Amino acid sequence: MIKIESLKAAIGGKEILKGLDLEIKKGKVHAIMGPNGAGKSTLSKAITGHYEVEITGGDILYKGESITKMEPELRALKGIFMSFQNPVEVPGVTNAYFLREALNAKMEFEGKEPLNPADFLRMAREYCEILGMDPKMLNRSLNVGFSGGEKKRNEILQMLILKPDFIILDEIDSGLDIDALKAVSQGINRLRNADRSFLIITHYSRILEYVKPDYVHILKDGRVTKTGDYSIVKDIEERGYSEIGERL
Amino acid sequence: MREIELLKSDPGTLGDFCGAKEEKFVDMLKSLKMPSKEVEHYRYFDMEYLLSKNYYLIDKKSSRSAENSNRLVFENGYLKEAPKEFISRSGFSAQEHFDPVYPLSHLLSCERVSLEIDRDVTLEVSHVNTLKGALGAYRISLRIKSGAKVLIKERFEGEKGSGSLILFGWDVDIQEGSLEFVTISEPKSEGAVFVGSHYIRADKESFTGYRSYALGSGTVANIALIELEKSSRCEASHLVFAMERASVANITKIVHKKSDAATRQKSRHVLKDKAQAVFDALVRVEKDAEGASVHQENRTVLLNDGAYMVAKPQLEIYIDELEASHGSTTGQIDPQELFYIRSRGIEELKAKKLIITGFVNELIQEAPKECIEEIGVAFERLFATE
Repeated sequence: MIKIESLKAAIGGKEILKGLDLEIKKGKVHAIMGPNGAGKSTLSKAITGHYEVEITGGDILYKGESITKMEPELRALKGIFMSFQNPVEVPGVTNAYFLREALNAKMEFEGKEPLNPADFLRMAREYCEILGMDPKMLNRSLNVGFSGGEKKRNEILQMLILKPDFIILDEIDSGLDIDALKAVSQGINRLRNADRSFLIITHYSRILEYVKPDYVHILKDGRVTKTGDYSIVKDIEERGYSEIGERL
Repeated sequence: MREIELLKSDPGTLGDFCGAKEEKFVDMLKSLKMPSKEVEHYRYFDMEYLLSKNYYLIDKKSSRSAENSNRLVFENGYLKEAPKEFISRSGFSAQEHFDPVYPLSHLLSCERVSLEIDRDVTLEVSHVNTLKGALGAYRISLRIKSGAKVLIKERFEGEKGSGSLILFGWDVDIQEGSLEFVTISEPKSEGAVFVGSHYIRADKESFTGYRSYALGSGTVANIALIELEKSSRCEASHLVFAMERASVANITKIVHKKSDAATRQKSRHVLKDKAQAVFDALVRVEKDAEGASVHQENRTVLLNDGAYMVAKPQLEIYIDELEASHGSTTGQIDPQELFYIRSRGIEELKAKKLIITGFVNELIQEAPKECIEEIGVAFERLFATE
C-alpha cells in the first residue's frame, strides 16, 4: 500500500525524520509507537502533505506512485486519510455540509454521481449512531465547541463516510474516556478489510487492545528502530522506550 | 453647475451655494472642522483627498418634478421618484453629530425630501449618478410613527460617474417603531464615490437594524450616529468584500441615552489586493443608560499581504454595571484550517471559499433574500483571479 524509503523530513529547518524506512502492507494494521519527539506526527504529516514539512530526502510511494510532491487534496482523493491529533475548528461551516463536500469531491474524482442530500444525511446519521454521536452535531459548525472526545469521534465519522484506502490515526486515543475509546475502536474495526491499511500512531497500548495491530514499529530519533508483532507493546509497557532501541 | 473648492471654503459660506444654510450646521461644521487627516478614521479613509478635488456642484433645481412611485430614486443629485403618500412637510435632523461630513452634507444639499410613514412598508431606494466630476448632496428625512415597521433597501449605481462625489444621508426618527436599514453598495474603481452620513434616533422600545454591505473595488463610506432611548435595540452589521484599490469605511457611533437599551454590532471584512477598510465603531453608554447590553465584534481576513485593515471597536461606558463585550481580529486564512479541509480531498481554492463562507455566514444569514445573489457574485469575484 505504502512504501517509505530513506525518508528525511524537516520542520522549520530542523531535521526530524532521518532516513526512515517503512512498508505498510495492504489489508494490514500497523502501529507506530515511540517517545515524544521521535517523529511520529512528522511522519503522518509527511504522508499527507502538510505545509510545515519539507521533504529533504528519500521517497514515499503510495500504490507504487511517488506522492512527495503531490497536493494534499490529491493524496486524499487517491485514498489517504489522516485522523488529526487536534482537529481544527472551522466556524460557520456545518459538519454536514463539509462532509458532503468532501464526499462529493471524492465521488467526482472517482467519476461517480454525487450523493443527494437526503441519502447523505441518512448515511451520516447511521454512522453517528454507531459512534454514539448525537446526530445534531451534523448541524453544528465543524468541530466548533466540540469536546476532545467529540472531535475524535467526528474524525472517525469522516473516515467512515469517505472510506479511504490508507488511514492514519494520529493519537486517536488521546483524551478519550473508555466509552469513547470503545466507540472509536468499533468505528475503526468496522472499516478493517483485506484492501484497507491502517497506521495507528500512539503513545499508549490502550487503543491497541481494541484495534489489534498486525505489526508494531518503534520510532526513535527519526528512524524505525524496531519492528515486530503485538508482543512489542508488552515490552514497551514493561521496559519503556529507552531500553527498546536495537534496530532489526 | 458651478465649480467648488471645498477645502478652501468657509463653513459659513457653504450653505450659500444651494440656499440650504442653516446656522445649526454651520456651527456644527465650525466646531468639528472640515474633514481632514486630523480625524483618526480619515487618516485611513482619505476624505480630505476626496474633498480636495475640484468638482462642479450640482445646483438646486428650480422646480420639483419627482414622479410618484413606490420607490425613492435620486438621479444625479435630484429626487426623480418618490412615494407621494409618504411625503411630509417637516424634516428632522440631529442637533449634534460626531462627524463633519454630516453638517457638510446638510449645508451642500440641494435636494431634500421628508417622509413620514405610519404603516409597515418596504421602501426601495436608488442612488444613481452618471455625471462626471460632480459634487452632489442631498438629504432624506424619515419619521417612522405608530409602531410601523419600515424596511429600507438602498442601492447605488455610479459606475459611469467617474470623479464624482455624492454626499447624501438619512435622518431617521423611529417613534416606537422598527427600522431595517439595508444599504448595499458595489463601488467600482472608476465610479462615483458615495458617502452616506446618517442620524438615526430610536425612541423607546424601538428597533434599529443597520446593515451595510460593501461589495466591490471602489470607494464608499457609511457614517452613522445612532441614538438609543429606553429599551430600544440596535443590530448593526457590516459585510465588506473589497478588492483592487477599494477603500471602504464603516464609521459608527451608537449612543445609549437611556436605560435597558441593547446593541449588537458585528462586522466581517474580506480584503484582497490593495483594498483597505476602516471599521471605526464607538458605542457610548451614558450615565442614565443603566441595564445596557453591548456586544461589538469585528473580524477581518486579509487574502494577501497588500490588503490593509484599520479596526477600532470601542466602548465608552459611564455606568457601573452592564453586560458588554468587544473584540477584533485581523489575519489571513488559517493555514491549519486550509490544510485540514484540503486533507479531505477538497481543492485549495474551494477550501478557501469554504472557510470564507463560514467566516461571513452569520452576516449572510441576516441579509435580505434579494441580496444573497449579489453577495454570492461579489464573493466569486474575490476569488476569480486566484
